[in-house]
Amino acid sequence: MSSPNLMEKTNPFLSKLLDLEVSGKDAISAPGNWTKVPLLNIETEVDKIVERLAPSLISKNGNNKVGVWWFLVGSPGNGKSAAVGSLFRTLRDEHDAEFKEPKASGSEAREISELGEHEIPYVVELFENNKYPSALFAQDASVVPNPYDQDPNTAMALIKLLKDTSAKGQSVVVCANRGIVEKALQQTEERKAPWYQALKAIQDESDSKSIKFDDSGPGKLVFNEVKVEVTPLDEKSIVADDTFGKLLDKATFNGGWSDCEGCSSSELCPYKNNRDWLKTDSGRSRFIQVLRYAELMSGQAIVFREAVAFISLMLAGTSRDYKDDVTPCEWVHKTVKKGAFFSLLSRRIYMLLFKSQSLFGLKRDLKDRRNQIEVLTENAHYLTESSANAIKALKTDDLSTEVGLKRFLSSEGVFAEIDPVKENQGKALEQRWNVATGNAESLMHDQPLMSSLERQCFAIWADCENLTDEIKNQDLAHNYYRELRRWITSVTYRLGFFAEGHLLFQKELEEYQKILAIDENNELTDEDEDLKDRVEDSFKDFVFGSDNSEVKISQVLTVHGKEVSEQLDPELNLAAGRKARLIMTIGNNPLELSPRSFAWLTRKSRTGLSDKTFPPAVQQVANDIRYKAASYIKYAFIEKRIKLQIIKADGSILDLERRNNRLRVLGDNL
Amino acid sequence: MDIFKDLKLEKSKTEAGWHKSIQNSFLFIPTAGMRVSSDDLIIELYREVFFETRSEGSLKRIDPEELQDGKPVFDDEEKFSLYMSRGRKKQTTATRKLTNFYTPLYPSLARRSWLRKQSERAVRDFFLKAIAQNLHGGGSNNHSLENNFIDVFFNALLGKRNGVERGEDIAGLQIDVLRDCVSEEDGRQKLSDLCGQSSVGEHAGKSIFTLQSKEPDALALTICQDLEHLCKLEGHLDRLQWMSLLKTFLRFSSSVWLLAQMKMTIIFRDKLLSILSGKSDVNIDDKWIDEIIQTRYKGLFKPSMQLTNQLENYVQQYVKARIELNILVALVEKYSGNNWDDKSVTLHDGSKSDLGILELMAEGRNVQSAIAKDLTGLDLRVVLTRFCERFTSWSMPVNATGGPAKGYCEYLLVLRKMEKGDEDGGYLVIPSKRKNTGYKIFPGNLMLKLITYLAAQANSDKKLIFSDVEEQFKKYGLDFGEKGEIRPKLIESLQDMGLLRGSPDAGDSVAVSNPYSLQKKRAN
Repeated sequence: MSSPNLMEKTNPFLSKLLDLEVSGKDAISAPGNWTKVPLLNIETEVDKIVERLAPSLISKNGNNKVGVWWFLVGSPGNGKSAAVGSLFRTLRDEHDAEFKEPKASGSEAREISELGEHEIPYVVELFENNKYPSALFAQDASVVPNPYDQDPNTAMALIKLLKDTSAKGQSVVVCANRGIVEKALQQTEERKAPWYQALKAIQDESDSKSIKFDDSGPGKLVFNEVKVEVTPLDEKSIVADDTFGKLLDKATFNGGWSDCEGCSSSELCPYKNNRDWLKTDSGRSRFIQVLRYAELMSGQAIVFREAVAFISLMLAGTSRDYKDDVTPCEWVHKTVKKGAFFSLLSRRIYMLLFKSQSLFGLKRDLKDRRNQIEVLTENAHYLTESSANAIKALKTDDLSTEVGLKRFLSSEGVFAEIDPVKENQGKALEQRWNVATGNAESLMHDQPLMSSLERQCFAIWADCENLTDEIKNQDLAHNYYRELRRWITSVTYRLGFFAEGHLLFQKELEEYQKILAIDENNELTDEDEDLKDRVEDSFKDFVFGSDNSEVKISQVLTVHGKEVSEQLDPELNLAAGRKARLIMTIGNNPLELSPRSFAWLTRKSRTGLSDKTFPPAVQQVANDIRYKAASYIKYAFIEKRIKLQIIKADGSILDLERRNNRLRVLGDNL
Repeated sequence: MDIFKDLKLEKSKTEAGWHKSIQNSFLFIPTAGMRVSSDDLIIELYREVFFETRSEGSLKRIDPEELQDGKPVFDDEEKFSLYMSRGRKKQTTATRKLTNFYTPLYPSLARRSWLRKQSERAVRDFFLKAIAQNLHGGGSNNHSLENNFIDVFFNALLGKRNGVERGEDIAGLQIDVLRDCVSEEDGRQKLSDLCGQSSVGEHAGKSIFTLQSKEPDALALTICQDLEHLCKLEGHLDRLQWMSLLKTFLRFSSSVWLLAQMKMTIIFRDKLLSILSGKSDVNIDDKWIDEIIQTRYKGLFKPSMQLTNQLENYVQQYVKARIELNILVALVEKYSGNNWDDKSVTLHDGSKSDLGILELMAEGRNVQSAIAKDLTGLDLRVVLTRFCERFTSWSMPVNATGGPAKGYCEYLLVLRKMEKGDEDGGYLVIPSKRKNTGYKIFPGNLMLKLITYLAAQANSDKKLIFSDVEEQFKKYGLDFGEKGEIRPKLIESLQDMGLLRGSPDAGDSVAVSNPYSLQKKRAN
């Protein structure tokens, strides 16, 4: 493959990207990391807040009397600490602030630059002119100051921190999850205390609030009052608002990859190929779209740490593959050299997303996979040397099936759930990607995701297909061919369906996303209205039946009737959806509908899926909605015009009508 | 020398036998047996409380179409009620006969159904016993508290919409709820007796324990309070739905009580064996004993989405412990030259007939050297094991013998998700699709809702949060914090049911809504 002018090169950018994987050293933004700008530093809305609030943390020798208590609220990995890192650099560079850990008895306080990368003190103090700390930074209030505390109480620790700062009139920056805030408020009720007022303001999501400190004490206060500012980092999807797109751009920018130019392994390098595809407009938007659907399906937003871990995985692989501390580039060179092309293929983007649990795209079950490898390798001696090496490497090359990001990429993860191979994708599409290996060339021209690496693997598969004729025993030949085709299609289907924009439930998730995106403050467009009506109808249809709305109380009892159906008109509550989940209301009662349930319910309503193919958990949710609806409408206490249908043990149906609190049989079927 | 020769133990087929002092004590656990459906628990409860006899012969299930002397047993409205409450369906493998199970929503509907006469009294022994413990285990009798509780419980069982008003509830219909039952007064008395110290079966003597601190037993208190909360809900919910909740509560609480009682035997066996082996001194006091009792329910279940056999393993552990404890107590009796025929093991010393745990342990320490001498250098644990191996209940797997372990395991099947008729999710154990490969332990949706409701009632003075629901589960021995994967699963389940409110990042402080707030009775 390599031309004489090419040579093996090492791109340090990949090693840096690798440090962003979830267990990597740069995954957590500890104070020790604040001094340097993060690798994938992008401007976000939080940076504007940083610019605005930074001056409030500085007293300017007593000239500034109004400080700030800034709370960054969000779940782990949401970018709170990274925001504080950005604030740190702004204060250091623009306001000459210095940062130290608090002075412990018997030892000098260390500067932040002296802290190790993983050292995380509970608070860091901000000094002006090295005189006194005017602000404190608690970059993770979900831990306690003393990690060996026998009775750790994060809520009490936060209260103490705020009490201490109010006693001294200091500003404070706190990163916390909402749970700590709620827990602290439950500890004790001190309505007038600054700490209580501040935390209550967060809980109530109230606008900026001012708190005056008590200055009757002996000590001099740094600030006389503070403004409470809250920045929630969990309100929207960073994938949907293009923050993720910006991170991706930063990771695929030309400068980071210029070292790959002239590299002999470049054409077969999965990471370079992934990067090249993600750099294209179609690749970029497809990847973001797929991640957004996965995020929706999971029901929980992708946090910053996960977002950069995804990028790290696609562009630098996983450290679990890199034995003996080799770099990603060294691993690629080594793998290219030994001709283990399917190991390289396993790190292509579509393989990482859908097949990371199945080595090389082979069967997932260990025993089945061993058999499959046995069948595929036992006749490898008929192949050309290069193909034989690649096939034999299936037996010897040791790749990790644990690539991190478990909730997305494990065998029970989201991508396994939305794997498009799980459903019929239509004859044309399936035929196109059930590639007759000799025809692969035609796809190369149409599909940018097909790289030299795929070309190489297709060539090996073509070689393998040809050897079927060499196997004399017809049964063995059949078996060999069958296993080979299964393997090929398990890879090509993922490649093709992914590239062409297909996922399981894509249509339903698209609808879900559209509904979430509707702004209830604006007048709905005709299209929005149609969508809303359609979703409400299909929901009603599924849960209560289409013609005659009814509530299924149990497997044997159904109630219906005018007074029942009047109460069964579900309505999408666009305002209450928190832009993360749909809320359907029946009467005034909310029913939350997760994307997963929505996808299945819509699919069922659209295609008439059998109950048997329904996942039990979703079926349970559907039953639950019915039970819940049943209890909302208080069917048992409706006095008239209510009909009951009971399925008797012999399968016959008993129809009853309720009038004036008495039930009477309709027809003669008792 | 055979140290186990001439021990005073009651003869038993599969075990070494009971020592009288244990058989008469709170450590005694009656045998248990299969309940094919949770409907059986309701029938059993009704039969215990509302009928002269709990059984009238061999097993008989409800048949709405039953005729007696050519006339229908049930009138039309009774039939409607039964048809509505049809639940589980079961087909016997051998005869292919299909059995349908019906829940009697009111006592009179259980008049033609009973378990076989010889069947174990699980509802009394594993459910009502917990209430008896709470009402009478505190050392002092508070009659008004007891009466109030019995009133609430009894009225809920009866269905509070008496007379014509019952017709307001679809499942209530116009049914004479006490037809062919004992009178209301007698029923109340029977329930009171069943929940009382004096009449809880033939082993009544010391079947209820009293803590040194005179504090109520934590588990019994939880069960009692939760039952009261559940009973109060009856007036606000359709009878069908409420009955599903009661069934779920019975399944869960009786199993927890049974397993928790087993824990005491296991711990006391461990301590006595350790003292007799010379491995520990009597370094315990009354406080230690109270602590053992008060924490015995902790960690009974390990929620898991991986297949497990933890319940069978636990029962096996208990049966081994009980065989060994009986032997060890008899051994101490023999070596100390005492006669404990008329004694009962009690938590703490009291009357002459009491054999307090501390006294037993102290006697154990006194005879330890004599036993060691006779063992001539052998380890007591090893010698005891060799001795116990001859008893099938000790040496065979739980399901391989007809011994007590099998009965307990069969009873615990009430926690399992039934193949049909458990759609609302009142289970805790989810069997694998492949037979005999274990099961997962995770609550079904109805159980989740029930526990969430109970947590809300227990924390009625504040906003309900996720950790309250977790705490409520912990009170029944289910700790979701122990295993990494299972807590998120619990959060996801509550989220899918729409019970979680507020931000998903709030961790264990995320707000939870109460699925059954006590709403007004009627629809407007």
